[in-house]
Amino acid sequence: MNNTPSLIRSAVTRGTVPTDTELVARCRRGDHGAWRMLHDRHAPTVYRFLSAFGVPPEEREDACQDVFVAVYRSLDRFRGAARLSTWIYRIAARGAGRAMRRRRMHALLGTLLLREPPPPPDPDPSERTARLAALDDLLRRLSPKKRLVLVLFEIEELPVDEIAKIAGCPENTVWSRLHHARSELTEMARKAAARSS
Amino acid sequence: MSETNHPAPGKDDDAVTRELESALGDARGRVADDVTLRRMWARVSHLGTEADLDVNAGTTTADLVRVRATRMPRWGWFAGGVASTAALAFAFVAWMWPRHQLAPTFVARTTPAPTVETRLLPTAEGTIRTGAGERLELTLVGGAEARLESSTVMTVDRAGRTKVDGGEVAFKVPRPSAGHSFVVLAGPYRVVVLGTRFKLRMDGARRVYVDDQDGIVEVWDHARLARLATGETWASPDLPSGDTAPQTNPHVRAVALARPGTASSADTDAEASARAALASGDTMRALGLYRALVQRGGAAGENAAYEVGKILRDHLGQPANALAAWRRYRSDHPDGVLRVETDVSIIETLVHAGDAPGALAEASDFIRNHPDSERRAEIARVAGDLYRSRADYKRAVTAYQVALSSPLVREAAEPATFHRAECLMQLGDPSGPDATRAYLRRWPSGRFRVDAERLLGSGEGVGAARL
Repeated sequence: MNNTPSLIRSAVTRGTVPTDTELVARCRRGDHGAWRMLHDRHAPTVYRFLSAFGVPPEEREDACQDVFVAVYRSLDRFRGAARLSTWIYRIAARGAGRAMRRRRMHALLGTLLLREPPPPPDPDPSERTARLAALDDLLRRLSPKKRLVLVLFEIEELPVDEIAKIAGCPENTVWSRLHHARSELTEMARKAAARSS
Repeated sequence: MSETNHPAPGKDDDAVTRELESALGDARGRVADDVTLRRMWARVSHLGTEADLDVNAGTTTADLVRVRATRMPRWGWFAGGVASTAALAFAFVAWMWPRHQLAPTFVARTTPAPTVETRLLPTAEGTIRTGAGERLELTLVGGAEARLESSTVMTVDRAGRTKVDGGEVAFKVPRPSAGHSFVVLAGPYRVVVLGTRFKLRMDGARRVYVDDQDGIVEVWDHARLARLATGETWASPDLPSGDTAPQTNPHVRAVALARPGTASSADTDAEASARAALASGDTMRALGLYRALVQRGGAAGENAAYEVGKILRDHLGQPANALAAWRRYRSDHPDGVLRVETDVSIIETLVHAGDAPGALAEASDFIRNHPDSERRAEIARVAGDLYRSRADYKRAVTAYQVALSSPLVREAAEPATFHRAECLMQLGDPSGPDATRAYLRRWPSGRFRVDAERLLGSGEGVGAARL
């Protein structure tokens, strides 16, 4: 409840929380308040997911905007076959994947054209932030498919059947990717720890 | 499928795995702060006012995903492949072309390539011109970067406003803080920028062209003519010479306003008008528009209620009225999305007004009410500074400890660490020298290095005398 946006929190207090399906229906009728509520309800999740998925801090707001623009544009096509959050995750994962490919291409072009590389991020003294930055770095080194499964399972804590729907693969494949992702992550963390010590 | 077939990483009980588990736990709790959420909302809020949802579309979610997954990428890959092949072929030809044949062709061009590239920071108003074949890069006040192509004239006035009088300028504008925007004038038009890269060109016939390369750009004269998203362009109708108002070309205007993503509600337009009025220096008009929005209520009204306070404090120099406006916001929106920002603004204003008891009371409330806020460390540090200025070192130490234990210490870490050590030394606490040494170890070239060394010298002297 602590992480629930304030708008939702006040609605919960009043005992009048509309479901996602109701919000979608109201958005389709042009209810601006419903769109805000839908955004406030899912924006923290999208932001957290994009952070863990490897979108750098300076691009997260843009990436969130892209996700919600895509959500809004496609709301008419949402029929409620899956949960709204599953559907949004799928849009976010696809958008983040595209953004990362674009970033790699920019980096490659930047190198080819001998442009100055972007400055490194400012060091942050907070232990928690440093730990998160290290985790982000490790997650970035996983392949996109493994990263998606690991982030959805370990960080977003989604059930495997839902992850399978988001990733577009069978549940067994999710388990297999998860297993390999965990092994790789642990191994990379060990190597990083050995290097730093 | 049960999870027992797939052991969790935590079963390998070593320090690395524990650290990893701990980081994953941190990642689960990572949320955007209220200000970020508010900014994110501001960037998509106009969508909720559109009436362009096609409710007749019969495709399901699965259809949508399938269509995108199967068709779009294939076309994308095909087009990408063709483009890459063409680019490689072009690069190969350019690379292999004999150099001695290129030179005369280059020299013979009627419009020579830019030859001069300079970077400077104008500190006062003035007109900047580039000659034929000259290019100039400037960093403007506020951090915006401007690249003037050849034969361009640009003016910066006393207030730092930029005006393009001819030629082409590419701007790169850093994302502004809430309520602020970057404005470039071109003839009778105002180009209002909300954090972006864009090009602005004025040709010999004084036609203005705006090419949005990233972010959102709005073009205004008496009203908003266009709102451009990434990749969109806008061209003005032909203008008579002089900066008279354009005879608006209805076609251009209609196309611009009909673009997807353009807000249409009265609230959104009023918000944009208020922002533009503020950006152009018409503070009273902006204040009036925001106050009208407050009366209407809703999300725009909530934002406006906060902005009223900012205008009163930052533009009209009325801190007492600003405080009243923000306190009204708090009573109207006790759980509002701008609550944290409002509380912080109140504390800042009280500090600047020298009302230390008021600021301390507000800061204590803030620390108690917002345990997860990103601004908690900053506010706790401010409280520490206020206690320290009143020689209440014991409470100052507690406040600095709160700052240092807050989730995102960031820039508050260094001053909080030093001043905590300083207060401990003042109290004669035996842990004071260790805390000071810890500061020096962590920030060996820090801002307070000299003070810390002096403190340590005198403190150790005291310690030695005691021994």
